[in-house]
Amino acid sequence: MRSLVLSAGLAAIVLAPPIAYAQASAAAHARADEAVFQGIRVELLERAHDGEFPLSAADDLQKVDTGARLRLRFVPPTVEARLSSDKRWIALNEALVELGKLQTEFLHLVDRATLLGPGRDPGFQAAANAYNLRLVTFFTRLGDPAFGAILPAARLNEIMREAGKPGADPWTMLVSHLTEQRRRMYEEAKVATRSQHFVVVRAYRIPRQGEVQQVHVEGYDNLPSRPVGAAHLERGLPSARELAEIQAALAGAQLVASAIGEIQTNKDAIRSRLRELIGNIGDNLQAQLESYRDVVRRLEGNGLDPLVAELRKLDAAEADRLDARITTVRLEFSRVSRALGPLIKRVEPLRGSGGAAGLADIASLFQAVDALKADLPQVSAALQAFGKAVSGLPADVGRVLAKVEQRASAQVKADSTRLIEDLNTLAAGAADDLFAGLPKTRAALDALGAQLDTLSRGKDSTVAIDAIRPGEAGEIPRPLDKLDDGILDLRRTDAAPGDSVELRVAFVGAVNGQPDFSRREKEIKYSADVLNTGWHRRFSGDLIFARALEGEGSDTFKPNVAVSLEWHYYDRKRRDGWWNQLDPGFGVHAANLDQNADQNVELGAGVNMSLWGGLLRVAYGYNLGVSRDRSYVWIGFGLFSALNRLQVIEGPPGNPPAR
Amino acid sequence: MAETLPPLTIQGLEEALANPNFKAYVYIGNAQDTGWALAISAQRMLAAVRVYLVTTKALADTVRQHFEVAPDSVGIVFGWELDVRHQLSKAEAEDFLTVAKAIADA
Repeated sequence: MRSLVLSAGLAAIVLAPPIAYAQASAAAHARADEAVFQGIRVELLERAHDGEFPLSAADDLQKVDTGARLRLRFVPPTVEARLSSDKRWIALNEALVELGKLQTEFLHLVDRATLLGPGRDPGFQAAANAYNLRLVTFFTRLGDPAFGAILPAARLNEIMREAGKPGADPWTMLVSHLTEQRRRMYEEAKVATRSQHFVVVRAYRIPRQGEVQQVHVEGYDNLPSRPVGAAHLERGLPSARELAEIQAALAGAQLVASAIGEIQTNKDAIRSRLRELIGNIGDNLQAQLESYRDVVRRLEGNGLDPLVAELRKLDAAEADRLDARITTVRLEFSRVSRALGPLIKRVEPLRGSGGAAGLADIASLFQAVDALKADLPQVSAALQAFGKAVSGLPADVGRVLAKVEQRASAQVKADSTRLIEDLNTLAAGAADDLFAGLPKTRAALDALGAQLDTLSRGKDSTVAIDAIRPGEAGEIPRPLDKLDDGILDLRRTDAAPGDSVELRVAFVGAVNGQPDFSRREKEIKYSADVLNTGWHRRFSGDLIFARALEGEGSDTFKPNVAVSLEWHYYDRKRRDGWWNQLDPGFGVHAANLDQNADQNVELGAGVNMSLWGGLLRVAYGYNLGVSRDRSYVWIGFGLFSALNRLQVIEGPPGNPPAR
Repeated sequence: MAETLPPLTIQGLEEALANPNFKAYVYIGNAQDTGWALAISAQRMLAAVRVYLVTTKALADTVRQHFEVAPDSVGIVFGWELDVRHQLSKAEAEDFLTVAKAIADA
């Protein structure tokens, strides 16, 4: 399985631009998480060499500089903000406004009444009725919980009883009551009686390789503070960390280059084995498709429609049921045909293609096998539905039909099982068979597999973080009214380019004044990749395909390795801009070459440029090991970093990728 | 305008109730009653309402008999015409919202 994934991954690197990267970015932007708890807004600011930048809890594709200080701030709500979300406050203000309008209208009607002469005035009656109805409606709002909390019915009665005394005025008394309520609510909001909650902050460094580490957040844990490290100062010669990475990448690239050479030497044998495997599947598919067609031909060819007509004369209900079942069988067959169609389409060209089997040819074969597996669930479902429809036909409509039914049912079941087994067998063991007797290829696949295993562990960082239990991590829970800024200084961690950091802010409940970690009311999570921002340099060890421009070694691209030093610029102000997406690099390289049969050691040096952060690199240089026809070009792939960047690896079963 | 019977007579009350531009609310009880205080407040908040207080038992009996209302009613709500629209018990007359709704509905 891993070999298949590796091969498909290799092909994906070669053939597909970093679309996955852009898609993942869009998905992250679509997800939103409001960083607010009880009106307290949580902010995370990154202070780096080129300014201060806010980080968003809703975006996990953010970048932070290796030398950044992350400042976590808790912004308490203003009195107005707190009140504006209080339904009682809203109801109270609305009531005061409405009361003012009612009073104005009442006074207007009183004036109008004094001017009334004898006799009925329908206009006045209508106006008075409308006003009275509005007033009653206003008081009816007492039933509303928000308004009722401000002016309970009993309190209204009390006010009105007092207002009925000589010299008292209900309007004034009502307004006084509501105004007093308003003043009281404002005072309460100022005091900000917050519920008993605690804030727990934890930060983690998720290295590209290795275990997740909890890192110190000043003010929120008692982990030891470390001295400022050197990762953010990588400017000149490669650091020990970088040297180790270059060596590992070069070793990996060398393995792959050797493997490619071996594959090219043995391409006919590989192709023959692969064809055999694919051919078997193709034969099976064709046979099965024919078998299903035969079933339907039998269903149609045995005069089922007249049979149904005859049956209808005897038993109309049974005939309808049979008719419906036959229709279902035909429908299910068409579904099976549709599902098998793409499979046949994929397999046929592989079986029939001629010519030499190059790297792309082999990669495309593996891609096709992967695609077959992707189609498998749909085919399986269609086959099962077909089998069910056929086996469900009633047995009492005639011997012919029963025979067809039995045959079809058994055939479908056997075919379905065989197809699934074939594909699974191919997926599990094909690569082993394919590369048997090719030790360099085997070694390269194993090395890539080991790399992928490491990366898979990195993708499981969330699982690892969740496994760190509350209370064991040395955190300092803080009550909501004592929230200081938290500082995460990346310079004091081992964070290096390629790592990521995660900061989690959890609001937990309280029991007897102590934090209750089992009641996690809200958690806000910030994630960011660590990298050098602005102008910075990167080393890389690449798998290259080099060719001399003229003379010996100019007839073919040969796999080899090179080490490059490039300068890149990360634009912080236009993070998602085209420049950062393209991530071009410019620099120099030293390459191992194999262009002259007489030379044991051939070294080349020259200039290079790359796109997509080194995913694709082109170079021009001079072969220092030969005296003529020295110019060469190469195309290179940052294979190991590309695997990481494109995330072509498969997550462990049952665990969706963490990021 | 709040008036009291006596000195207002039944005839005087009937003449006042005949004004087609006012509704009326007649309360039977004492001037210190909660029901009467609420009646005054209702008059001060609802439009085109006049309230009357009947304080003596003899007049109360006469009013109830004259307008054909139940003996236990203490609040009588008249509409725009000289017609009884609602009769309120003592408990109902001591609830401001009930009184207001009855007058608005009359």
